[in-house]
Amino acid sequence: MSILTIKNISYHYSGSKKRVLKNISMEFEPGKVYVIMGKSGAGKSTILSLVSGLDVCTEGKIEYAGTDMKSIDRDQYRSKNIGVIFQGYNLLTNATALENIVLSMNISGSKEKDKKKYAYDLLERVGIDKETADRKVLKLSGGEQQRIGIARAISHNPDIIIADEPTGNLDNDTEKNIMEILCALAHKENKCVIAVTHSKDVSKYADEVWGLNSGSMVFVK
Amino acid sequence: MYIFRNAVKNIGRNKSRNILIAVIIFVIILATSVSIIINTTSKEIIDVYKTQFGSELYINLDYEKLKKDRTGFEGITVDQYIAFGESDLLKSKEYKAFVYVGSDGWIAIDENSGNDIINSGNSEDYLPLKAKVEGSTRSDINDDFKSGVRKIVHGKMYENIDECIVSEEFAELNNLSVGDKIKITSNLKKNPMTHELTISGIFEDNTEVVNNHQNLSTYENGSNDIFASFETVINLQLYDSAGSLDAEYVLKDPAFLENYKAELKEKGLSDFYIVSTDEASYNKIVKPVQGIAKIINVFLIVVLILGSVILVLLSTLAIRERKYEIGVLRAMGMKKRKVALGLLSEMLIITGICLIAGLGIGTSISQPVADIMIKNQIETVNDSNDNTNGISIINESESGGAEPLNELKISLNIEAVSQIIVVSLLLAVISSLTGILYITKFEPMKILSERN
Repeated sequence: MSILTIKNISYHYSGSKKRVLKNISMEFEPGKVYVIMGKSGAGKSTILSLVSGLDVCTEGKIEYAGTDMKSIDRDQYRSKNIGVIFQGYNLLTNATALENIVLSMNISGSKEKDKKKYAYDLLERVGIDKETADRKVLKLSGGEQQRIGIARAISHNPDIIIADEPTGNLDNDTEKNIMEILCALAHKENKCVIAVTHSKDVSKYADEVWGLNSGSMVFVK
Repeated sequence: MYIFRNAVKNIGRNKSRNILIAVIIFVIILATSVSIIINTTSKEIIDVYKTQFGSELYINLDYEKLKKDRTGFEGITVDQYIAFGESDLLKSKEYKAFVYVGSDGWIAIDENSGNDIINSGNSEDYLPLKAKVEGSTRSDINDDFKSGVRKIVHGKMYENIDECIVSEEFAELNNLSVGDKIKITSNLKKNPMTHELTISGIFEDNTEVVNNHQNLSTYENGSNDIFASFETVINLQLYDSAGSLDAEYVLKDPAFLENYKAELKEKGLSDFYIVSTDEASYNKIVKPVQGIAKIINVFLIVVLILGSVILVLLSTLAIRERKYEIGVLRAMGMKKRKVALGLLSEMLIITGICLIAGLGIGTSISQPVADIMIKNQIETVNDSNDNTNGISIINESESGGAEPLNELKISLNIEAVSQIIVVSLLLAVISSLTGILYITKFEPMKILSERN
């Protein structure tokens, strides 16, 4: 049963008649890794911003657990139901890694009693030790920041994890490591993982691969 | 709660920016504190002096005008005096009516000592005036009785029309007791207008004047005074021909003078009368303080406007740095109002610290600042007086000997503290406003995509 359904969505930027996405329909199920591939400018990031509730489609509808996204509180949806791993990390750079995770938990209204301990454990799971966790994000490498981004995305135990070019700036070893983490989240913890990328290597980890070309979606694998 | 904790952490995370904002807020609060503290103290002093000096009203004859032309001159009647007192602009009014009387069957104290007066003119037509019958709405008669300088020793205070009280000495001299009647007359032999008053009480008189009456006329001797109610006196037939009335009006505010003058004109006050207040005393004492209050007000307005502009500019620049942070928080699902609350909390914490420091330092430097300002103001007022063709505008007799203020005792009152807190809160809101508007205006995706 799908957790997220896209029904005939189209999108064009305000002030432009050109449609970036054209009548796209898809269904996403828990426990699977979905990879959407496409060239730069194909609309990959746009589709992610729509399913992550950061933007609203101009036509069609997106349903989360059977409810139209337009009728739900998008702030709450972002803070509780999905976790987003951004291409540019989008972490609070003046805060420590730990503070980023704890803040995300606070925003989601997490009932975890010892949030710090939970955050340390989470960061350790993605390969960030305690010492690194207490350093400011600004002083960490791209790979480390990406791991923190993953930890933040799963800190509030969402049903869906969305990753925008999760391995874009990383070396091969780190890329492999991160994709293994994402696969584990899908296959072991029954999360729905949706990643967009232009890397063919990433698509190897996917249960389903879709191609986005000129605003239209095509099933690849 | 996490929003507040995060706000505290954020202050530490962005030290240089927040120190800069804090310095500006501190300077504004410091200047505001000094201004408001001095201003409220000045206001209190002005209010006190307004009540004390500026509001007692005088209605005097314009002798210069009277000398030139008396045509149409009419005195003020009792009814007019009373009508003048019926005004919303007055804080209080008091009347004292009195008439000098001759006797019919009684003698005055010291009558045979040669101090009794015979009215000027033909003594065949006039009788000597021996005593004064006084009726007052003023409290000073009663005050004498309250303080014990005068006290009723027999009977009671007059209550009804045609009742009176006399001194013990006067009663003994004439063998009078409570319930007896005394006859008073005018000084006109042909028209004595005799009136009978009933003694309701006899009082012991220990006033200073009474005890030093060797050179007084009998009617000036307080022990010969016959006290009755105001209504009794003004209803005497002989009052109509020889009576006098003193009226004292106190305005609620000296600023009402012009309005009250107009009201008096409407009620028929002749142009031969001048209406004035004790403006000289008021100006001499209050002008320097008013001068300070004016300077302080202008200073306060300038500081607030300039400070607010600087804060808005600084916040606009700061928000350029912070928009990424706002975008991240919004992307994580933090609601707009919570992000706004976070920004406001940061500014409130910074402002709170600045408020404590500004209020503390402001209180301690207000006194020396006020001392310097009042010194300058007194010099300015004195200079302006000296420049009036060499004649001082205010002299001691005009000002009633009132000394101008030469110091301003600064104190921090609740009103001042409240005003400073309100200004501080406004500053915090102004500082946060740019950020809050930014949050309202842009969606997180737009903010983040701009940065990326």
